[in-house]
Amino acid sequence: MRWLATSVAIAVGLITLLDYFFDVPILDALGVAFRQWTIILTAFALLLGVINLLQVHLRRIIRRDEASAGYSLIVVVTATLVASAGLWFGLPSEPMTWVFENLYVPLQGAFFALVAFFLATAAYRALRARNLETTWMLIAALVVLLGQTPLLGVLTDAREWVLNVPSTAGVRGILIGVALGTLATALRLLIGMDRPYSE
Amino acid sequence: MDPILSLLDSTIGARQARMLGVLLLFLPIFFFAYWAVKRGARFVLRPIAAYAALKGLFARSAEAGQPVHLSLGTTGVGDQFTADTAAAFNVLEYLAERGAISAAPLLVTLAHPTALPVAQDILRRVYRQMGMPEDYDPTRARLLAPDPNCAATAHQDAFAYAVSAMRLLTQQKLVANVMVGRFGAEFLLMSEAGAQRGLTQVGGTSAPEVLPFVNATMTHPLIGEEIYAGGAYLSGKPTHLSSLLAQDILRGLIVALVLGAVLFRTLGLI
Repeated sequence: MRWLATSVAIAVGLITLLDYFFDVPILDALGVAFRQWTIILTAFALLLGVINLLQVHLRRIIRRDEASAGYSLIVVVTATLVASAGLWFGLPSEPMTWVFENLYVPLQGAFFALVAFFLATAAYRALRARNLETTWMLIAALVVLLGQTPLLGVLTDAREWVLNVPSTAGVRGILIGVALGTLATALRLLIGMDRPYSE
Repeated sequence: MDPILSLLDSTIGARQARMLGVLLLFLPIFFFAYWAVKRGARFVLRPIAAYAALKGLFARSAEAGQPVHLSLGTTGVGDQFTADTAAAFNVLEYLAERGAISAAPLLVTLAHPTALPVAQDILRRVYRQMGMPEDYDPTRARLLAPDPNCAATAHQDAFAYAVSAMRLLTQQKLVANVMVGRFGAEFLLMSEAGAQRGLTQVGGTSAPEVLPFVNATMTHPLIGEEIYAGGAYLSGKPTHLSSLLAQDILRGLIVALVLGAVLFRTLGLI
């Protein structure tokens, strides 16, 4: 069966790649179909994911794990309620929209607001001048930070230079490397030399 | 140049043509490198501290009887960041092999449902290859919380995953936190939770906007494309070594091209 999984993966990958390069009706139709199948497969994977989630949390509840059984109970009850509402009322529907707009989105916003505080502690740790590398980072961060303030307008040009020259050059270098890494990984998967899906 | 571009635009598209060109250039270099590696050619890999640290993690894990946590990122299989997830799978395979023989098996968390069956399959396969299929526990790979729109968009909203992972990183007994894959701003929330606890942290991502967070919080950071080199550094498989060699050759060509273009432009020749 190993050859079958590998053949299917290579064939689907090649057809999708050819569809990207060439405008041929049959390739277009197959490409669209494969992309739709991806959504269906993701939905099935989500079902497996929910089973996995329930396995982990139900096990904690059954074991009456003192530290986390209460939280696990909340997770299981909430997941059951929201899933039931979704199945009953469908999507999009008023109850589901209410859940997202009044529970999920505010919680998400509040949580990501914490990034600023985490950033402050992380920056403090990273910008202590321990060696030449962190000293350069500290200087660059100070120039960019102080260059934003109107009081130190003299640093505005320096800030622009730091952002436009060394920073942009570094990011472009990283992006070229990432593109090549992505290409190499994709190629290994595409020609079946790397098979995380089979032995 | 313009007539060529307009011809390409009217046939397969200029963007597609450029991509096809890079692919056709990469393929022979890759196969040549593969042939050379298979024939026994050896080349020196520059040391990457993060991969050296990964190799030492399980000695400490076995000694302390505490597991290593591995986060596979927030994206899955089948979206535009599949290569990042595949890079995380390479690290998973290595850590799973080491974890299977230690007293504290690896704990894997992820945010995208499509990564779950692959992660579980890798764990199951490793335990079977080690001759201990009965020790495989499918809940050692955990989907903590998916994005509600995960089937519709590649851009993942990992808020719920980050919350769950932060709790795990602050409450669970762990010897180290490894984070490899595609992350957004949630990387900082998770890695800072680990850093404040003083965990050994190894990880990185390909997203340039997240790299300052990686550098600030990781004990052993992996910068950008270094995450794709995991297979070559950890397992030393010929395919991974040859693709790394091909990447380096192509990178050298691109650097030469950029420098040449700058020189010619400065001299007013183009």
